[in-house]
Amino acid sequence: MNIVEKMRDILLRFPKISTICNDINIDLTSGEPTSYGLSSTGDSLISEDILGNQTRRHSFLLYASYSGINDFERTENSTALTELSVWLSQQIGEEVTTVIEDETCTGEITRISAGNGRLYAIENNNIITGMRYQLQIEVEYTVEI
Amino acid sequence: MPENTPTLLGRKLKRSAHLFYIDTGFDITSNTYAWKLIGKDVEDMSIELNPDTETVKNILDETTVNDNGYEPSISVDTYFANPNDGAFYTKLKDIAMNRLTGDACRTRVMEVLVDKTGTEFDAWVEEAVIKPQSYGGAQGGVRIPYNVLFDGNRTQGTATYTGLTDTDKAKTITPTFAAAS
Repeated sequence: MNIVEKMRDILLRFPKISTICNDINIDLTSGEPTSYGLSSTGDSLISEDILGNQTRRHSFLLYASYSGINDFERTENSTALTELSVWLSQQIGEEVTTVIEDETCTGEITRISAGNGRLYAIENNNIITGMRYQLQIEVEYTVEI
Repeated sequence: MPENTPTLLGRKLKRSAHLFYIDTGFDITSNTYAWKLIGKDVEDMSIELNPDTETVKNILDETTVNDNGYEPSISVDTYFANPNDGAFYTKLKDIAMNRLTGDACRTRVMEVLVDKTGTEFDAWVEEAVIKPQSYGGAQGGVRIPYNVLFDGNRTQGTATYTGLTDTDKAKTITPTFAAAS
């Protein structure tokens, strides 16, 4: 799995994910309450060792649509994102593949940090189903060339 | 094909064209080698030649330079302790934790310059002493940085990478060394 597929796979293993959503879409949410969208926003080289092996950083935005009709629900929403942030930081060591010059290289995730989980938009001023939250995720991973 | 073929190696040698190995057998009397490639997680590593020279001016105001040779060494500042590294990890752990000295730390090292096409490259083997400098380190993994102190009996020869078709892949093959006749 490449880093995008792997992150989607990891997110789907979040223990509470099944109680709040059934699937994670790529780039967009379906718009339904408790639907998630994972959007890749960039990949950059952090360092390279003397053998050419790389450490890279990939940035994601996770969009989550929740119902947020009152403070209780909105607190629940933020709590879910906070728990997800902490859980993600523990998911290291997962194998990822990266294609460089038509060759598939393996590596592993060495660090996941998530933050800035916040209310991003209220679609059509619909606080029943249209509360869209955003969580920024940064993943560092190695590429053994 | 000429050396330094631009299409294959680029206009300058990649850093990974200089490969450095340690014999994990730690037996300088053995006729065989067990090479371990060094460099994973290491972003900057140089063979410090440490030339020993002195400049002397005589009473005629003439200046001469006395060249006393070199005292080469390497500082490998990043090594993450990894049992998957097999004999190398086991030996480094043994040296560090049991405070081993002398011949217990002595082995051979090999430098290879992948600066041409083919499967055979210039190589140099020399005795060396491996000395861990500390262990532990910050969050992220147990580190055992170590120094390599070159100890003489340098031999030039050839490193052969059997089956090599792409010089960029030399690091994936363990070479054999033959001293020049």
